[in-house]
Amino acid sequence: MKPNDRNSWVQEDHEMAAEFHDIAKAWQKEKPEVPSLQAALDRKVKKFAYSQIEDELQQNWLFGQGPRLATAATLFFAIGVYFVFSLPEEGRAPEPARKVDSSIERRPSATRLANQREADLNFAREAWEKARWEQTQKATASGWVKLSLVVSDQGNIEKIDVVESCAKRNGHCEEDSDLNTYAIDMVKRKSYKPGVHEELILSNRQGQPN
Amino acid sequence: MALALTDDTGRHGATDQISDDQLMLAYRRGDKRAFDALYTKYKNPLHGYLYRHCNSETQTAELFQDVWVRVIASSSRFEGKGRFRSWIFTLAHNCLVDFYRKNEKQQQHTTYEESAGGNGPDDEAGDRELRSALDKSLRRLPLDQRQAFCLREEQGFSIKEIAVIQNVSAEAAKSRLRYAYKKLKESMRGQRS
Repeated sequence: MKPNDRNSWVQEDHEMAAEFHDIAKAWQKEKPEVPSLQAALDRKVKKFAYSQIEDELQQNWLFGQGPRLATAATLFFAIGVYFVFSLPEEGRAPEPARKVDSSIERRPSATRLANQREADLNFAREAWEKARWEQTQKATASGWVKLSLVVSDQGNIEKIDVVESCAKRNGHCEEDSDLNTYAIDMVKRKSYKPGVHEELILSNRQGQPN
Repeated sequence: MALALTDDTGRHGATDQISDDQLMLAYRRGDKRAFDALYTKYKNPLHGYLYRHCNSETQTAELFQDVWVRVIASSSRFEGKGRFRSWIFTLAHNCLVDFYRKNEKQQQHTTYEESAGGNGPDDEAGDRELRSALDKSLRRLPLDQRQAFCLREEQGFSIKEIAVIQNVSAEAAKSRLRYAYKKLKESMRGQRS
Protein backbone atom coordinates (compact mmCIF):
# COMPACT_ATOMS: atom_id res chain seq x y z
CA MET A 1 0.00 0.00 0.00
CA LYS A 2 1.33 3.43 -0.87
CA PRO A 3 -0.69 6.08 0.87
CA ASN A 4 -0.58 9.43 -0.85
CA ASP A 5 -2.50 11.83 1.30
CA ARG A 6 -2.20 12.87 4.89
CA ASN A 7 -5.20 10.87 6.10
CA SER A 8 -3.78 7.71 4.59
CA TRP A 9 -0.53 8.21 6.48
CA VAL A 10 -2.38 8.83 9.72
CA GLN A 11 -4.15 5.54 9.07
CA GLU A 12 -0.80 3.94 8.39
CA ASP A 13 0.50 5.22 11.74
CA HIS A 14 -2.45 3.64 13.54
CA GLU A 15 -2.00 0.34 11.77
CA MET A 16 1.67 0.17 12.60
CA ALA A 17 0.98 1.07 16.23
CA ALA A 18 -1.56 -1.76 16.42
CA GLU A 19 0.73 -4.22 14.70
CA PHE A 20 3.69 -3.60 17.02
CA HIS A 21 1.74 -2.77 20.11
CA ASP A 22 3.50 -5.42 22.18
CA ILE A 23 6.96 -4.11 21.28
CA ALA A 24 5.96 -0.57 22.09
CA LYS A 25 4.53 -1.63 25.42
CA ALA A 26 7.60 -3.65 26.33
CA TRP A 27 9.86 -0.82 25.29
CA GLN A 28 7.98 1.74 27.34
CA LYS A 29 8.15 -0.56 30.34
CA GLU A 30 11.66 -1.88 30.01
CA LYS A 31 13.54 0.70 28.06
CA PRO A 32 17.07 1.25 29.31
CA GLU A 33 17.57 4.28 31.46
CA VAL A 34 19.26 7.37 30.20
CA PRO A 35 21.79 9.01 32.51
CA SER A 36 20.78 12.46 33.62
CA LEU A 37 22.17 15.49 31.90
CA GLN A 38 25.20 17.09 33.49
CA ALA A 39 24.53 20.50 34.98
CA ALA A 40 27.82 21.73 33.55
CA LEU A 41 26.52 20.96 30.08
CA ASP A 42 23.44 23.03 30.78
CA ARG A 43 25.54 26.00 31.75
CA LYS A 44 27.81 25.59 28.75
CA VAL A 45 24.97 25.53 26.23
CA LYS A 46 23.13 28.44 27.82
CA LYS A 47 26.30 30.48 28.05
CA PHE A 48 26.91 29.95 24.36
CA ALA A 49 23.31 30.79 23.49
CA TYR A 50 23.41 34.02 25.48
CA SER A 51 26.77 35.06 24.11
CA GLN A 52 25.47 34.53 20.60
CA ILE A 53 22.56 36.94 20.96
CA GLU A 54 24.73 39.41 22.81
CA ASP A 55 27.19 39.34 19.93
CA GLU A 56 24.38 39.93 17.49
CA LEU A 57 23.11 42.82 19.57
CA GLN A 58 26.59 44.28 19.71
CA GLN A 59 26.68 44.22 15.94
CA ASN A 60 23.22 45.68 15.52
CA TRP A 61 23.43 49.17 14.00
CA LEU A 62 20.89 50.62 16.41
CA PHE A 63 20.96 48.50 19.55
CA GLY A 64 24.59 47.49 19.59
CA GLN A 65 26.77 48.92 22.33
CA GLY A 66 29.16 50.79 20.06
CA PRO A 67 26.65 51.83 17.42
CA ARG A 68 24.19 52.80 20.15
CA LEU A 69 26.72 55.23 21.65
CA ALA A 70 27.60 56.58 18.23
CA THR A 71 23.93 57.03 17.38
CA ALA A 72 23.27 58.80 20.67
CA ALA A 73 26.30 61.06 20.21
CA THR A 74 25.23 61.97 16.68
CA LEU A 75 21.71 62.64 17.85
CA PHE A 76 22.85 64.93 20.66
CA PHE A 77 25.22 66.75 18.31
CA ALA A 78 22.43 67.28 15.78
CA ILE A 79 20.08 68.59 18.48
CA GLY A 80 22.82 70.92 19.74
CA VAL A 81 23.52 72.32 16.27
CA TYR A 82 19.81 72.80 15.63
CA PHE A 83 19.42 74.57 18.98
CA VAL A 84 22.28 76.98 18.36
CA PHE A 85 21.13 77.93 14.87
CA SER A 86 17.51 78.26 15.83
CA LEU A 87 18.25 80.90 18.50
CA PRO A 88 17.27 84.48 17.62
CA GLU A 89 20.22 86.76 16.92
CA GLU A 90 20.03 88.64 20.23
CA GLY A 91 19.62 85.48 22.26
CA ARG A 92 22.47 83.61 20.70
CA ALA A 93 25.15 82.54 23.07
CA PRO A 94 28.55 84.07 22.46
CA GLU A 95 30.84 81.88 20.47
CA PRO A 96 33.51 80.24 22.59
CA ALA A 97 37.02 81.45 22.12
CA ARG A 98 38.69 79.42 19.48
CA LYS A 99 41.94 77.80 20.32
CA VAL A 100 42.93 77.42 16.73
CA ASP A 101 44.16 80.31 14.64
CA SER A 102 40.98 81.52 13.03
CA SER A 103 42.47 84.47 11.13
CA ILE A 104 42.28 82.55 7.90
CA GLU A 105 38.69 81.48 8.51
CA ARG A 106 37.58 85.02 9.37
CA ARG A 107 39.38 86.77 6.51
CA PRO A 108 36.88 87.87 3.82
CA SER A 109 37.47 86.49 0.42
CA ALA A 110 39.59 88.50 -2.04
CA THR A 111 36.66 88.96 -4.41
CA ARG A 112 34.48 90.36 -1.66
CA LEU A 113 37.21 92.77 -0.60
CA ALA A 114 37.75 93.97 -4.15
CA ASN A 115 34.02 94.56 -4.66
CA GLN A 116 33.77 96.49 -1.43
CA ARG A 117 36.76 98.63 -2.31
CA GLU A 118 35.34 99.43 -5.74
CA ALA A 119 31.98 100.42 -4.26
CA ASP A 120 33.69 102.71 -1.76
CA LEU A 121 35.72 104.33 -4.51
CA ASN A 122 32.63 104.89 -6.63
CA PHE A 123 30.81 106.47 -3.73
CA ALA A 124 33.73 108.78 -2.98
CA ARG A 125 34.14 109.68 -6.65
CA GLU A 126 30.44 110.52 -7.00
CA ALA A 127 30.49 112.57 -3.82
CA TRP A 128 33.57 114.44 -4.93
CA GLU A 129 32.16 115.11 -8.43
CA LYS A 130 28.92 116.32 -6.94
CA ALA A 131 30.75 118.63 -4.54
CA ARG A 132 32.93 119.96 -7.39
CA TRP A 133 29.89 120.52 -9.59
CA GLU A 134 28.13 122.32 -6.74
CA GLN A 135 31.21 124.43 -6.08
CA THR A 136 31.43 125.43 -9.76
CA GLN A 137 27.72 126.22 -9.89
CA LYS A 138 27.88 128.24 -6.71
CA ALA A 139 30.91 130.22 -7.96
CA THR A 140 29.25 131.22 -11.21
CA ALA A 141 25.75 131.85 -9.82
CA SER A 142 24.56 135.02 -8.17
CA GLY A 143 22.79 132.96 -5.56
CA TRP A 144 21.72 129.46 -4.65
CA VAL A 145 19.53 127.54 -2.30
CA LYS A 146 20.31 124.03 -1.17
CA LEU A 147 17.21 122.10 -0.17
CA SER A 148 16.61 118.77 1.49
CA LEU A 149 13.36 117.05 0.72
CA VAL A 150 11.61 113.86 1.72
CA VAL A 151 9.48 112.12 -0.90
CA SER A 152 6.85 109.55 0.06
CA ASP A 153 6.35 106.12 -1.53
CA GLN A 154 3.57 107.65 -3.60
CA GLY A 155 6.00 110.30 -4.95
CA ASN A 156 4.57 113.22 -2.93
CA ILE A 157 6.96 115.69 -1.37
CA GLU A 158 6.29 115.48 2.33
CA LYS A 159 8.94 117.79 3.70
CA ILE A 160 11.23 120.48 2.35
CA ASP A 161 14.05 122.04 4.39
CA VAL A 162 16.40 124.81 3.36
CA VAL A 163 19.87 123.50 4.12
CA GLU A 164 21.87 126.37 2.72
CA SER A 165 20.93 129.62 1.10
CA CYS A 166 23.04 132.36 -0.44
CA ALA A 167 22.11 135.54 -2.23
CA LYS A 168 25.39 137.25 -3.17
CA ARG A 169 25.47 140.93 -2.45
CA ASN A 170 28.79 142.77 -2.65
CA GLY A 171 30.68 139.51 -2.58
CA HIS A 172 28.89 138.29 0.53
CA CYS A 173 26.16 135.73 1.04
CA GLU A 174 22.93 136.92 2.53
CA GLU A 175 19.72 135.16 3.40
CA ASP A 176 16.96 135.98 0.90
CA SER A 177 13.50 134.72 1.66
CA ASP A 178 12.28 135.38 -1.88
CA LEU A 179 15.08 133.25 -3.23
CA ASN A 180 14.19 130.49 -0.79
CA THR A 181 10.52 130.63 -1.78
CA TYR A 182 11.51 130.56 -5.40
CA ALA A 183 13.69 127.50 -4.81
CA ILE A 184 10.94 125.70 -2.93
CA ASP A 185 8.46 126.42 -5.74
CA MET A 186 10.94 125.10 -8.29
CA VAL A 187 11.38 121.89 -6.33
CA LYS A 188 7.65 121.40 -5.94
CA ARG A 189 7.21 121.44 -9.70
CA LYS A 190 9.60 118.56 -10.17
CA SER A 191 8.93 114.90 -9.58
CA TYR A 192 11.20 112.77 -7.45
CA LYS A 193 11.61 109.14 -6.58
CA PRO A 194 10.64 108.12 -3.05
CA GLY A 195 13.33 108.81 -0.49
CA VAL A 196 15.49 111.69 0.72
CA HIS A 197 16.99 114.06 -1.81
CA GLU A 198 19.12 117.18 -1.93
CA GLU A 199 18.53 119.79 -4.54
CA LEU A 200 20.57 122.86 -5.46
CA ILE A 201 18.62 125.70 -7.00
CA LEU A 202 20.65 128.48 -8.65
CA SER A 203 19.93 132.16 -9.31
CA ASN A 204 21.80 134.05 -12.07
CA ARG A 205 21.02 137.55 -11.14
CA GLN A 206 21.89 139.06 -7.88
CA GLY A 207 18.88 139.03 -5.63
CA GLN A 208 16.76 137.56 -8.45
CA PRO A 209 15.86 133.98 -8.92
CA ASN A 210 17.01 132.32 -12.13
CA MET B 1 7.20 40.04 24.69
CA ALA B 2 6.41 38.71 28.12
CA LEU B 3 7.38 35.13 28.62
CA ALA B 4 6.75 33.14 31.74
CA LEU B 5 9.57 30.77 32.49
CA THR B 6 9.33 27.04 32.51
CA ASP B 7 11.34 25.67 35.38
CA ASP B 8 13.54 22.63 35.51
CA THR B 9 11.02 20.64 37.46
CA GLY B 10 8.76 20.55 34.48
CA ARG B 11 6.17 22.99 35.77
CA HIS B 12 5.16 25.17 32.91
CA GLY B 13 4.04 28.75 33.11
CA ALA B 14 2.65 30.94 30.41
CA THR B 15 5.18 29.54 27.97
CA ASP B 16 2.73 26.71 27.42
CA GLN B 17 0.64 29.22 25.57
CA ILE B 18 3.52 30.17 23.34
CA SER B 19 4.55 27.87 20.53
CA ASP B 20 8.08 26.63 20.13
CA ASP B 21 8.31 28.62 16.94
CA GLN B 22 7.40 31.82 18.75
CA LEU B 23 9.96 31.05 21.42
CA MET B 24 12.62 30.50 18.80
CA LEU B 25 11.74 33.74 17.04
CA ALA B 26 11.79 35.55 20.39
CA TYR B 27 15.25 34.13 21.05
CA ARG B 28 16.34 35.42 17.66
CA ARG B 29 15.23 38.87 18.75
CA GLY B 30 17.44 38.56 21.82
CA ASP B 31 15.12 37.10 24.47
CA LYS B 32 17.19 34.84 26.70
CA ARG B 33 14.16 33.57 28.58
CA ALA B 34 12.74 32.24 25.35
CA PHE B 35 15.87 30.18 24.86
CA ASP B 36 15.69 28.94 28.44
CA ALA B 37 12.11 27.80 27.87
CA LEU B 38 13.03 25.96 24.69
CA TYR B 39 16.12 24.42 26.22
CA THR B 40 14.23 23.23 29.27
CA LYS B 41 11.62 21.65 27.08
CA TYR B 42 13.93 19.86 24.70
CA LYS B 43 17.11 19.10 26.62
CA ASN B 44 16.02 15.77 28.08
CA PRO B 45 14.28 14.36 24.97
CA LEU B 46 17.27 15.36 22.88
CA HIS B 47 19.80 14.01 25.33
CA GLY B 48 17.93 10.70 25.59
CA TYR B 49 17.65 10.41 21.84
CA LEU B 50 21.37 11.00 21.35
CA TYR B 51 22.30 8.64 24.15
CA ARG B 52 20.52 5.79 22.37
CA HIS B 53 22.98 6.20 19.53
CA CYS B 54 26.21 6.57 21.44
CA ASN B 55 28.59 4.41 23.36
CA SER B 56 29.16 6.72 26.24
CA GLU B 57 27.99 9.75 28.10
CA THR B 58 31.02 11.65 26.90
CA GLN B 59 30.09 11.11 23.28
CA THR B 60 26.49 11.98 24.09
CA ALA B 61 27.58 15.20 25.73
CA GLU B 62 29.67 16.13 22.71
CA LEU B 63 26.80 15.46 20.34
CA PHE B 64 24.35 17.25 22.61
CA GLN B 65 26.50 20.35 22.54
CA ASP B 66 26.97 20.04 18.82
CA VAL B 67 23.21 19.94 18.25
CA TRP B 68 22.58 23.02 20.38
CA VAL B 69 25.41 24.88 18.72
CA ARG B 70 23.72 24.15 15.40
CA VAL B 71 20.35 25.24 16.78
CA ILE B 72 21.82 28.51 17.99
CA ALA B 73 23.90 29.11 14.88
CA SER B 74 20.97 28.30 12.59
CA SER B 75 18.47 30.34 14.56
CA SER B 76 18.70 33.22 12.08
CA ARG B 77 17.62 30.87 9.31
CA PHE B 78 14.72 29.40 11.26
CA GLU B 79 11.55 30.42 9.50
CA GLY B 80 9.05 29.26 12.09
CA LYS B 81 6.43 27.33 10.25
CA GLY B 82 5.24 25.30 13.18
CA ARG B 83 7.97 22.72 12.84
CA PHE B 84 10.50 23.53 15.52
CA ARG B 85 10.29 20.05 17.03
CA SER B 86 10.96 18.37 13.69
CA TRP B 87 13.64 20.92 12.94
CA ILE B 88 15.64 20.32 16.11
CA PHE B 89 15.50 16.55 15.65
CA THR B 90 16.55 17.00 12.03
CA LEU B 91 19.62 18.83 13.30
CA ALA B 92 20.19 15.98 15.77
CA HIS B 93 19.85 13.48 12.95
CA ASN B 94 22.41 15.36 10.89
CA CYS B 95 24.80 15.52 13.84
CA LEU B 96 24.50 11.78 14.30
CA VAL B 97 25.09 11.10 10.62
CA ASP B 98 28.20 13.31 10.68
CA PHE B 99 29.38 11.67 13.87
CA TYR B 100 28.99 8.18 12.42
CA ARG B 101 30.73 9.16 9.22
CA LYS B 102 33.72 10.43 11.17
CA ASN B 103 33.89 7.34 13.31
CA GLU B 104 32.64 4.87 10.75
CA LYS B 105 34.87 1.98 11.68
CA GLN B 106 34.38 2.29 15.38
CA GLN B 107 30.71 3.09 15.36
CA GLN B 108 29.29 0.89 12.65
CA HIS B 109 27.81 -1.25 15.37
CA THR B 110 27.84 0.32 18.76
CA THR B 111 28.58 -1.92 21.66
CA TYR B 112 26.49 -2.25 24.71
CA GLU B 113 27.69 -0.55 27.85
CA GLU B 114 26.97 -2.51 30.99
CA SER B 115 26.40 0.72 32.83
CA ALA B 116 23.41 1.47 30.67
CA GLY B 117 21.20 -0.95 32.58
CA GLY B 118 19.41 -0.16 35.78
CA ASN B 119 20.31 -1.53 39.19
CA GLY B 120 17.06 -3.04 40.32
CA PRO B 121 16.61 -5.58 43.12
CA ASP B 122 17.17 -9.29 42.58
CA ASP B 123 13.51 -10.11 42.04
CA GLU B 124 13.61 -7.82 39.03
CA ALA B 125 16.42 -9.73 37.43
CA GLY B 126 14.15 -10.92 34.62
CA ASP B 127 13.10 -7.42 33.76
CA ARG B 128 16.67 -6.28 33.87
CA GLU B 129 17.67 -9.01 31.47
CA LEU B 130 14.87 -8.05 29.13
CA ARG B 131 15.90 -4.43 29.34
CA SER B 132 19.46 -5.37 28.62
CA ALA B 133 18.42 -7.50 25.68
CA LEU B 134 16.28 -4.71 24.28
CA ASP B 135 19.12 -2.27 24.61
CA LYS B 136 21.53 -4.68 22.95
CA SER B 137 19.12 -5.31 20.13
CA LEU B 138 18.51 -1.64 19.63
CA ARG B 139 22.21 -0.89 19.49
CA ARG B 140 22.73 -3.61 16.94
CA LEU B 141 20.24 -2.01 14.61
CA PRO B 142 21.61 0.06 11.72
CA LEU B 143 21.63 3.76 12.51
CA ASP B 144 18.71 4.71 10.28
CA GLN B 145 16.46 2.00 11.76
CA ARG B 146 17.50 2.80 15.31
CA GLN B 147 16.81 6.47 14.70
CA ALA B 148 13.40 5.73 13.21
CA PHE B 149 12.47 3.54 16.16
CA CYS B 150 13.63 6.05 18.79
CA LEU B 151 11.93 8.94 17.03
CA ARG B 152 8.68 7.05 17.05
CA GLU B 153 8.70 5.29 20.40
CA GLU B 154 10.50 7.85 22.49
CA GLN B 155 9.66 11.12 20.79
CA GLY B 156 6.26 10.25 19.36
CA PHE B 157 6.90 11.28 15.76
CA SER B 158 4.67 9.97 12.98
CA ILE B 159 5.94 8.10 9.94
CA LYS B 160 5.75 11.23 7.81
CA GLU B 161 7.61 13.31 10.38
CA ILE B 162 10.33 10.67 10.62
CA ALA B 163 10.60 10.78 6.85
CA VAL B 164 11.13 14.56 6.99
CA ILE B 165 13.73 14.29 9.74
CA GLN B 166 15.65 11.55 7.95
CA ASN B 167 15.17 13.23 4.60
CA VAL B 168 13.73 10.11 2.98
CA SER B 169 10.35 9.19 1.56
CA ALA B 170 7.57 8.20 3.92
CA GLU B 171 7.73 4.72 2.40
CA ALA B 172 11.39 4.42 3.31
CA ALA B 173 10.72 5.64 6.84
CA LYS B 174 7.93 3.16 7.23
CA SER B 175 10.16 0.38 5.97
CA ARG B 176 12.93 1.29 8.45
CA LEU B 177 10.45 1.28 11.28
CA ARG B 178 9.07 -2.05 10.30
CA TYR B 179 12.53 -3.62 10.21
CA ALA B 180 13.37 -2.18 13.59
CA TYR B 181 10.16 -3.43 15.20
CA LYS B 182 10.62 -6.89 13.77
CA LYS B 183 14.21 -7.25 14.96
CA LEU B 184 13.31 -6.07 18.43
CA LYS B 185 10.38 -8.45 18.50
CA GLU B 186 12.66 -11.34 17.60
CA SER B 187 15.10 -10.43 20.32
CA MET B 188 12.28 -10.24 22.86
CA ARG B 189 11.04 -13.68 21.83
CA GLY B 190 14.56 -15.05 22.17
CA GLN B 191 14.83 -13.55 25.62
CA ARG B 192 11.53 -14.99 26.80
CA SER B 193 11.99 -18.46 25.35
